[in-house]
Amino acid sequence: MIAYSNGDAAAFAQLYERHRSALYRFIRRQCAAAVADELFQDVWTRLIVARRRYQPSAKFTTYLYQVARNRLIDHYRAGGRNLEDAPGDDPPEAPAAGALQPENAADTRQQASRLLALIEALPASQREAFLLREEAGLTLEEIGEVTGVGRETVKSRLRYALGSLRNGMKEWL
Amino acid sequence: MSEHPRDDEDLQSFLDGDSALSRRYKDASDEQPPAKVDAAILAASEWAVGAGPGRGGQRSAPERPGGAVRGGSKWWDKLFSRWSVPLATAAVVVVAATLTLMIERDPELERIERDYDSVALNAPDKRAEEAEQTQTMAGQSDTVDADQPAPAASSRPASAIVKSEAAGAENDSKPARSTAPERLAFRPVQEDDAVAAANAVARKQAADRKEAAGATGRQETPAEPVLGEFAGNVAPPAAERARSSELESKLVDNAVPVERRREADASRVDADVATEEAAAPVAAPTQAFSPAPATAVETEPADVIGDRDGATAPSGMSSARVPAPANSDTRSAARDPEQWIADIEEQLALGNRELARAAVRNFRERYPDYKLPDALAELLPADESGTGASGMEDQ
Repeated sequence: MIAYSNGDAAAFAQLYERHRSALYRFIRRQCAAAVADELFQDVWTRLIVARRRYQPSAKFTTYLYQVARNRLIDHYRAGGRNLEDAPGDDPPEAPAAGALQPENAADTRQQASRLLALIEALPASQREAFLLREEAGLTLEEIGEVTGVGRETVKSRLRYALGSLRNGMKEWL
Repeated sequence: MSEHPRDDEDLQSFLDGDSALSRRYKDASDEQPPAKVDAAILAASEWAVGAGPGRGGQRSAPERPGGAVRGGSKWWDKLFSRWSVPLATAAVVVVAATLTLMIERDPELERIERDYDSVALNAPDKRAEEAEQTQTMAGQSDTVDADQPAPAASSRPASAIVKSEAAGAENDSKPARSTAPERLAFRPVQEDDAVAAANAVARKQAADRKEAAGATGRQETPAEPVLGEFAGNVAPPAAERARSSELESKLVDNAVPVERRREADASRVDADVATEEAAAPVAAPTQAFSPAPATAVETEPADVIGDRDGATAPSGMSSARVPAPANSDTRSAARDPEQWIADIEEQLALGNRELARAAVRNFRERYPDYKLPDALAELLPADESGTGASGMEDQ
């Protein structure tokens, strides 16, 4: 990012290629697909605009996902909702625990759809913590830095998130 | 309490990245951002770097298609930077070439127009006047020669050529022979001018012929027969011969300067080439040999010119160089035999052997007792070369 702020466009391309997929999924898991494209582009546009104000005081990934989180908060605030309370624009219905029978979900694709539906059904804080760990690979401390909470809070959120997902996927796990 | 240890194990496994839930999520989640979004973002990043601080990140820039994202001013700047030099060079070349052609063309056109005007307006009168003088000179030559026996010269007399050329210019404008002095005098004259001058000569001759006919009792003859008479070398009447002698004496009184004669002699080198000149030589002697006063020209009848048969002056010799008859003191003083010999030798040196031979004959006729140099004596037959006493015993 420092190289790009000095005028190296290739450095930005390299940075974008490294983080584009994970960031897009991070946003996509928290909003609808059409909104995700716009928010994703806005996040990178903010980075471009703020390139000269960038200070390498923290890990770039932490900075990037913090910007993305702020953009999601702005999006939900614009809709009169709160990120902490809103699981998503169009969260998939979480299937009932007894509705999914092993014989009805034999293939992996069905398991993936089930898992994604369970993730989107998580509370925003738990989902956010889970995604920051799974997509961004952040540590507990980094997740706490991005979300503005402590390490134990992140740990607690992750613990609840994993419990919910495990319960929803207990037939396959 | 039993759930916490399990949750901690699951959390630790999850944080280590080897949980079954984490593997299932990685398999299920494979979404990628659309390609157009990638392109827009990358374009925006490049545009921001190229546009400088404060302009990057504008929403409108990345949405522009393809390479046009860079901004209008930059696009025009690149276009002009690429083509400005070639275009400017081409424009300079075109303007310079145009100006050069205009500058070079204008003086030429002016000169041509000026020459044309002068030829069209002034030349005919001038040429007519010169033609009169030419006739006068030719008459001088004829009258001088008329007092002397005509040599058996093979070459055609110069004055006869002049007249025949004038006639030819009038009739069919065919190229005719000319003599060197005539050509010298007429170098600046154009072909068209020569034709006009020939016409003027013919008109003047016709007018003079009327006068002469009235004076001698002859019947008036139109101009065309006069020209035909020139070509036919008709013998002159006695009255005209007498008149020519009078005119000749006037001309010899205004003898040609030595330098001018030398200049004319030098021009004789082109005598053979002069045959290509058409009617131009008609007025030739007026410049190179123009000693005749205006009065003499006015009194000169056309018939004097018309009688060219038996003219003794060879084509290469000017009429002014023809020695004066012995009965005229003025003529004797006008021609120096030594100078004449020098001129002939010069002609011989220039390779004009026939010309020199004719001149030697003429000289011998004029000065029979003058001892010729061996080189000149060889030009004459043995019976004509003679061994006269040295010096000018009879002068």
